[in-house]
Amino acid sequence: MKEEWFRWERESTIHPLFVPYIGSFTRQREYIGTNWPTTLLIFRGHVVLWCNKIEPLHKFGQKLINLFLTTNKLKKVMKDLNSYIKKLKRHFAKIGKFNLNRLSNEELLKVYNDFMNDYIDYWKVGMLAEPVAIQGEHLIKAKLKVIKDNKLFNQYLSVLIATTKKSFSRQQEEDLLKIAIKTKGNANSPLAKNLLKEHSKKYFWMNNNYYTTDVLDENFFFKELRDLLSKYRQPEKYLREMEKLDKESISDKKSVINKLKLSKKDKKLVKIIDDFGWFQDERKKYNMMANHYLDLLLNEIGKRSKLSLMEVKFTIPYETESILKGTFNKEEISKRMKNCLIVWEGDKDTYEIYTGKKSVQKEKQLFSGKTGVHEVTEIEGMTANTGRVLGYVRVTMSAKEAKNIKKGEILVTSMTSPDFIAGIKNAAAIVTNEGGVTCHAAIISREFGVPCVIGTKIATQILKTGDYVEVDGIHGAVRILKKKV
Amino acid sequence: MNKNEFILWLKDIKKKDIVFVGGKAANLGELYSKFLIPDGFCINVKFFDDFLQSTNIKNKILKLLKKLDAKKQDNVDNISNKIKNLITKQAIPNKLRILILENYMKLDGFVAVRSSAVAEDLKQASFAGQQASFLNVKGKYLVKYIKECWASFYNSRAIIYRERNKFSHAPSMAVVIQKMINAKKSGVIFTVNPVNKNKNEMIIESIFGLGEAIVSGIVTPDHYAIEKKNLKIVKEIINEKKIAIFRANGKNKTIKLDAKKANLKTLNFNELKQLAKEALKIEKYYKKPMDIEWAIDDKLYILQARPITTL
Repeated sequence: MKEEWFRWERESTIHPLFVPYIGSFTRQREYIGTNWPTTLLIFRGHVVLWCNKIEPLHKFGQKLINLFLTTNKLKKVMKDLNSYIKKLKRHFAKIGKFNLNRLSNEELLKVYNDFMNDYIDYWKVGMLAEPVAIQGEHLIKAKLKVIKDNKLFNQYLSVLIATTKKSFSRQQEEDLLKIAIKTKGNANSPLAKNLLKEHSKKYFWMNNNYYTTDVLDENFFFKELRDLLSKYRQPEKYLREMEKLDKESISDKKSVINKLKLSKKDKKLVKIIDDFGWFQDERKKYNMMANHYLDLLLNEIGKRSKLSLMEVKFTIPYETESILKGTFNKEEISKRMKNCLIVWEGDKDTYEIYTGKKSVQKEKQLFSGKTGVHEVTEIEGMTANTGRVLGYVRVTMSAKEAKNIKKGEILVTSMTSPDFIAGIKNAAAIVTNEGGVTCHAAIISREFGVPCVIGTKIATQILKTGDYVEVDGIHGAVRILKKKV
Repeated sequence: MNKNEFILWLKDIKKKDIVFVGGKAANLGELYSKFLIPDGFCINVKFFDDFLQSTNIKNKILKLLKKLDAKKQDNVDNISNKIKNLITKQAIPNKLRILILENYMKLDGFVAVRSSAVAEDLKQASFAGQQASFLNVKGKYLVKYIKECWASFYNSRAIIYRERNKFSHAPSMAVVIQKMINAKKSGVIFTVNPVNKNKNEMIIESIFGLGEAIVSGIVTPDHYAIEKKNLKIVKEIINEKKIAIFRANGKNKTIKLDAKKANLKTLNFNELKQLAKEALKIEKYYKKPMDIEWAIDDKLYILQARPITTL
């Protein structure tokens, strides 16, 4: 039987991502009676693929949705997230206040462990967001099946799955604009400087991720404000318009719900999706902050055992004590920095780490055997030429190979060069990893009138010659219809 | 020898010179008085012809072309390679070489060496980018790359194209030598959205470093859509620009950008607005939707402008 995989790719080190990972299994099961299915983390350098089989993930999401539809557990989950956020904030204040280099190893480890314990708890709640969102969207799509008009379908879908609450990045932008209003647009005034300083204290973590963290200062936000002001000349008017839009998005949702005559249960589902949209944003916010404080701790821990911050970030929380004691194998770290695969089976209480060659072997075993097919079902990119076509993939990495493209095949490549012309003439569509609407492939596709999806990042990794796909130049997507066996 | 027949500076090129200087140089000459174009000169078609004649390889080329069978790719590739070899291996006679170097001295330093074929070949966009272009060229390499540009006139694809359209294979390739802009950022503008054909908006795409990376498509650029009537930004997509081409140690170097830099916005609002205004001026001047390449070091330079072929 064919098995399909969801894969999320992002820049990341191991340590900060391992915390949500731990939270997703044993502790989550104890918390809500169900937990994430088997999950693989595949690190190649500092890029990670988070992989789940699609079917178990949908099932997991369905269990959660059923639970929220039939009980009032949702309220408790929201409350719990807030109480863990409060705990995290206390840790942040504490870590920020300490002169970490004055602590003894034992004290440092205690600060770290206390923080980590609550942070994992935060994630056992936080990691409910994705399965609900994925299954929620799936259910809504099924409801909307009756709508044959593609445009209307997408419009309704986006209204129904959007969150009506303000994201923190929007909030940040508005706070910045309010500074401009208070200081009457004079961003150089002493008052503005003070306000920007305060603002930077509140939002210094905005650029953090699982890979690196940064403390953004008032100069950064000064530039942000300047850019914002050149974009929105009249901040007051802009804020008013945004407020109006917020209200409209709520009434839009209501009117779509009415138009579709949704049942009480479905209305509740829409509400759950809306709440979890906000939930996920809130989770991300404190995650970004926590990554900053985690880095402070890891930096100090690394210093004491002559490891760089980056090196410590390729360890996992359970290894922190041995790092501080200096008993951790440094070679293992350099292996992980090249290749590392971590498996946590959903029904087990622990994980396995494979590094170096073993990681590559394990990956092969997991994905190329009878059971596994390395697969996502849809790849997104940008439309460079519109149109929709079905055909067999031909992955082509050089002009020489391009000559082999047969009539009606889909050219999949990282980028095209003028030498590809001989092959492109036969191609029914073009799909690239990189590029914009002005690149060579894009121009050629328009000239030959074939659909073209560019900038997918991963097309050549996911698609294999012989796969049967739909190139949807209307939505800028490629869908896998049948994998080559 | 009338020097003007051999070399023309961009500032002196008129539209009618297209038969001597090729499409690209004629366009640059036309833009020169109205926009900021990197200074430079054109090595005219006549120069190429003179080089081939005085070194006696013209006859050899003609002989090779007689054996041409455009239906057989191998045959074309073979003949193309032989001709290109003849050109690139042949030393340029002193008289001509000095003429190039005298003019190059006036520019000094790094230059871009770009082919400029006579117009009829260039009407199809499938030819976009088919002729050689070399960036950050300096001193002794100049002559080598000029020969590479000439040789690209006999690329397999160019030969097949001319055969199909019954164009002559007589040498008609000029070469533009321009002062190199050490671009901090660069990009492309389409004055009409080429995807949805919306005439009311233009598309700007931009990256860090040289624009080569955007045209070839090795980088996914930032993408902006701008409403033409009020210069409002209607769409802004900041992509991860994983690599950039910069000049380092006198060479083009493709460097990986770290995640933070790669995700930075390439253009601020003022730069976008300036670009949009220049683009509108160029479109107005040509009275056609235009495809424009640009670069910014400290100032904004226009590197190329040509009509969009696919609307």
